[in-house]
Amino acid sequence: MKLKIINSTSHWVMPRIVMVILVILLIIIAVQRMISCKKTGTPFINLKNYRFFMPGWDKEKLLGSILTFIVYIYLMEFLTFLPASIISIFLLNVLFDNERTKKSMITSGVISVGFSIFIWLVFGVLFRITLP
Amino acid sequence: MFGIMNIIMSFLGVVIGIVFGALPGMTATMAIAVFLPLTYSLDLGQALCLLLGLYVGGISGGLVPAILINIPGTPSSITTGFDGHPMAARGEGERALKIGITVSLIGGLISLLALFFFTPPLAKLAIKFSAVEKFLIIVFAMTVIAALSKGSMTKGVFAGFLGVLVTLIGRFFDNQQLRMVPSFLTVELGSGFQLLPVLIGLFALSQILLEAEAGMKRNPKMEGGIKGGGRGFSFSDLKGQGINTIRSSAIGTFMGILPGVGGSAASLLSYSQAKNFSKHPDEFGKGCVDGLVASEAANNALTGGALIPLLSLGIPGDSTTAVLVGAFLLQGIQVGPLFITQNPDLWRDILLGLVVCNIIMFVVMFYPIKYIAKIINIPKNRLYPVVILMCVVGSYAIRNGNMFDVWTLLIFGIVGFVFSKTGIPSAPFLIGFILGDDFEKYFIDVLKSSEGSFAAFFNRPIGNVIWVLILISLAYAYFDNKRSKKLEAQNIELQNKA
Repeated sequence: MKLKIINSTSHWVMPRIVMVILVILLIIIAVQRMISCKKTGTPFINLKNYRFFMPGWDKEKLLGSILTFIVYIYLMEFLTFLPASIISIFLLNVLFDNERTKKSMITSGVISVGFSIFIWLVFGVLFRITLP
Repeated sequence: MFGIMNIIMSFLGVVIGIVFGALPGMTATMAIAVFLPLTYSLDLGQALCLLLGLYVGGISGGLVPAILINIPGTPSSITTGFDGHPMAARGEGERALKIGITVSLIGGLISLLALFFFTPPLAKLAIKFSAVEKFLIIVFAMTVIAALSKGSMTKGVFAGFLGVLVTLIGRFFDNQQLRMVPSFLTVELGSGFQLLPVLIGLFALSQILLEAEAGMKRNPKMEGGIKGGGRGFSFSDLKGQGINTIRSSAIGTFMGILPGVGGSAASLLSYSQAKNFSKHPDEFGKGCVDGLVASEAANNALTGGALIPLLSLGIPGDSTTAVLVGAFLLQGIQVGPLFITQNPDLWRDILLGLVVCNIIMFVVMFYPIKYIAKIINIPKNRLYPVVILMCVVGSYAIRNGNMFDVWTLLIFGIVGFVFSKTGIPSAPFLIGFILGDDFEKYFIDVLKSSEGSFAAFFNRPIGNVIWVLILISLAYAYFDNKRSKKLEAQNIELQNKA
């Protein structure tokens, strides 16, 4: 067996091989599932009983944290690191907290301002790491 | 020079590592991933001391919540709670913690001996490797991943190759051509996805997303103090545990050497072996010291073991050492067979650093254990936002300010979340991602020099030895997979009957 390596197309050799391996593996996974489904008598595709998320999952916290993250990225572009971090860390603190009392809001505020400034000082000023 | 700064960094690393380890939902891998950016401006010796401290502390801290509230702080302390928690329940919390901490130290030091003796000869052998052997050793690493993904062998291999495919995105070094890059991202993805945001996403952000999905419930509070009026600790508690400790440390070290095997597999194997060899196996699970010793010696022994393939072959032994690869690359150092000969000072620093970190771990945890136990009461929903902040800083700074890398972090955070929902393991993916470039390079190099003939892969003696190893691990994978599937089916049947 031979596989001539031609310079102009050599960048596609490995990706193609890996893709073929992945497809074969997917087929094996599907066949394995089919066999085990046949044994237990469950249908191969069972959308009705399929759950991606855990029962009673916290929509607000999960989707909220992804959304806040995206907002954070845009805020950093417009507001620079420190104000963007204070706002986003505050939002995340409120989001992750299980109670929304005045006291916990104040704690969230203190944590977001305190840690953002601390990290900015340590990373940005002391260690001179590039920050947005 | 191993100076005072190295010791300070080790101390910092160990203490922060213990906090991460002791909080369920935060792991040693997460600690290293999050603190990696701090090392950008340190010299390599100090950076390594910090990271090794985080590693040792992170693995060790996991025993605290496992014993006190029966929730493992890290995956590697799963079995610690089996016997540690019953001990705490009958008022021997402090005794259990101190036994755990002491054997953790012993396990760590035994694995260090293995690291010291085995790495140089292995590296010496590996220096003789040509592209053929280098390619085959990566294939071998992948098959070992398959062999050890209990019951989900195909998913483990799938994850590994998916990692390879993802790392191939970008420019091919040989002909400078782009592949698999959408036309609007040619600048951002020209050099592919960066390792650091990928791994922070997979191991830190995805963990936070999983916790968010579960609603960030607070851990159960520890009832009372750690002293419950039961028996206290004395070093004579460890009498008769010598063989158990050494066997468990050896198992932990060996499991560490195998790529893609985490601490949980090491402690589970060592626990079950301790039970098999025990004269009183019925006492396991009811607060038996032997079980606690087996679990804790093994998971700390993993640390030294996992560094052996990393420093001799350039192959990370577990997800945490995979993160260390990132640290070396940041400092411009290639880990592999030449590492020890080219960096003798660094090699000495690593060994010294590990000894120091293990001793600091013992001192910091053993005496003030009353205060260490309080860590588990820290509300993690207050810590996660700060962890996210540090993840962002680390990803952004890796290429001196590139917002695309922060997007990468988010994307792989979601990928890691989806992986854990669909039962695809993240560690093989990361190992495939790290080794993928070399995998391609050596494969193309061999075929180029042999003018396309595949026979070149089979006509070198060391290469053929590796082929035999590959076949053995594949055969093992096949039979072990069948056996664990059978066991699983039997368990389900038993449960149905009950």
